[in-house]
Amino acid sequence: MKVTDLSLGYGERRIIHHVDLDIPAGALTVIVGPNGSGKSTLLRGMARLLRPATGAVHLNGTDIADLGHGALARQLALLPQAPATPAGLSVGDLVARGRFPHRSWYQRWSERDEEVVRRALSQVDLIDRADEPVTELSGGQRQRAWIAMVLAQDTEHLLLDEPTTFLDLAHAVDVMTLARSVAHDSGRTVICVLHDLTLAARFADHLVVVSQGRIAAAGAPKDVLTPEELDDVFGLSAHVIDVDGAPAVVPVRRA
Amino acid sequence: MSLGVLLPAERAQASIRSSATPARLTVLAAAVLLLAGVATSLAVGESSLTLGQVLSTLVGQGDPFSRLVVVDFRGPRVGAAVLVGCSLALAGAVLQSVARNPLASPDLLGLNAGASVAAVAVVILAGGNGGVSGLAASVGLPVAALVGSLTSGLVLYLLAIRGRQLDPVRMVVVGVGLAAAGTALVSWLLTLGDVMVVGPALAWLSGSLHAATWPGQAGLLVVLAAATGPLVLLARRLDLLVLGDDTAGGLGLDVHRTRILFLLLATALTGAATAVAGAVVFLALCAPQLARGLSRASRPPLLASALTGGALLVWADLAARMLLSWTGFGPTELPVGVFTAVLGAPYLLFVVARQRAGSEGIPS
Ligand SMILES: Nc1ncnc2c1ncn2[C@@H]1O[C@H](COP(=O)(O)OP(=O)(O)O)[C@@H](O)[C@H]1O
Ligand SMILES: [Mg+2]
Repeated sequence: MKVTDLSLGYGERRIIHHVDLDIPAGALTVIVGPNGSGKSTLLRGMARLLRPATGAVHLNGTDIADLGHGALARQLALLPQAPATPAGLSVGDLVARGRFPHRSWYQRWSERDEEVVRRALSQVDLIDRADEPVTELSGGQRQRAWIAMVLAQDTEHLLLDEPTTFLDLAHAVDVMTLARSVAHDSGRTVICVLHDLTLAARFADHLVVVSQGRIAAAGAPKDVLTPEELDDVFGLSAHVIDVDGAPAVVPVRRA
Repeated sequence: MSLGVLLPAERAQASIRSSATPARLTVLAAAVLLLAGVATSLAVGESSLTLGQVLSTLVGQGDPFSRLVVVDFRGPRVGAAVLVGCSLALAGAVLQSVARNPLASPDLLGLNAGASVAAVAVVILAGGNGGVSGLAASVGLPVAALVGSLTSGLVLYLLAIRGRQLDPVRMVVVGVGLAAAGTALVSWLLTLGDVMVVGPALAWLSGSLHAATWPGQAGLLVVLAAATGPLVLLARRLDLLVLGDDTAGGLGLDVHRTRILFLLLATALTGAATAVAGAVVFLALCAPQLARGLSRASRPPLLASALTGGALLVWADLAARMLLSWTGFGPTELPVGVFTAVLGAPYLLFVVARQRAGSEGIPS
């Protein structure tokens, strides 16, 4: 996935300014940045939910602006930040909706659809909860159900906007482990927006730092996450230490 | 006719997806209730017929008197109740899914109000002694109501959608404003009218099937038939819209266009139904949620909502027609709109109470 000179905004208001990004295939890319820096906006632009003011996004050499709605949705899936869950929707039905781009209006539910949905539910460990309403699950389970919906879309590219919000650390680690294994085991390109720097540093193959609608840094986590960068972008004084070969961000304690 | 044919999108199977059995049972129950209501309404009245007489007339075997009563006297009214009930409930089901809000319905969103303003304007401005008649009534009224509801639909869309995103709460707030503006306009129009014209206009406004005729409901039948095709083809898209704009867009839905199309369909159904029966309130609100609750679905199911709406209105109209005479107040009757309003208001309070007490997530 390649982003060139991408500018995005709402109405007259520009949020993302001339962004260039090369997203490695078959790896987990994590986007971090302060609140309101434009991470969600960037992700929505990459999924073509916003029309670019300048620039373009290419998937395997094709400008996504030239793809039909169905064709794009078969190549790229998006999990929005804090999606709305209607009451009365079962886990199985939610995940089944991920199959929408693979079925025409006249097509019945197929064996293949069933198989993909079952696999997605197994991946997030919810296969036994398929009959339960999504609204009655715990926060962590609900988030996993939504991830399964995106997995059922069976796309080469997955964009996840803050999939760990509202989760405790153990569940957040579960979700990131899943995202990483989806990327590594099946060679998919996963892009994930996170607000937790340590989580980002430990799981990302490729880290992108967004600041005020621009890319402040991009690269391997250990190259990108330096105390200077953290101070610059987040206004955070922190040590960056190495644990098991991946950086960890440890805030400085002021007296 | 098997339900499997009726419900291509909701067919049951041993699957990871939830069972379609509650949805089918709801359709079946609503259909039975609807047919029973039609038969009873045709039989009951000042000159009662037996069920046998009604049925034999319906299959073309009845005696001339039964035929007169069934086909000419009661038929138009019962037919209008079915068509209006189905259309309003369909419009409500669509709007509730598009707005992701169980309180969205043509009356609360001001679509009815637009139709009422336009129709009352026709009655007041073009009506002669004793209301509209002739061309103005058979063509002018329906067309005006249609144009009126389309206009308020357009205003609603322009005001409720910001940056191509629909905010469910904003949509209802704008709709309530539109409805209030419409009511005020109607009151003002009524002050302009001649006393002889204002009477029928008021009766029409409170929602009544009293004056229904076969030709008068032809337009509604055409609109309902024309809307059914796209609704059947696009029903699956409603399942995506209730998940929110970004999710639906990410799944490959052209959210903007789909929403406009659904709003158009709902608006046309509302306008055409309002032209026939005036402002029948609350039906479009209750019927879809009733059908949704019984079907245990994540959005109001279309077929079940339509049948529920038809059944409710047929029975409500029968009650409105007969209640006063059964209770000894003589042969006067209530407008059915008054009746549905009296039944619907507590329902509205119930929804609000349940929402406040209810769980997280936006119910749709
Ligand atoms: N739908 C929208 N309409 C208008 N402005 C928006 C919209 N969504 C986000 N913004 C604005 O864009 C800026 C960036 O928001 P966002 O991309 O959500 O940041 P982040 O995800 O990094 O917290 C914010 O100032 C926000 O107010
Ligand atoms: Mg965000």
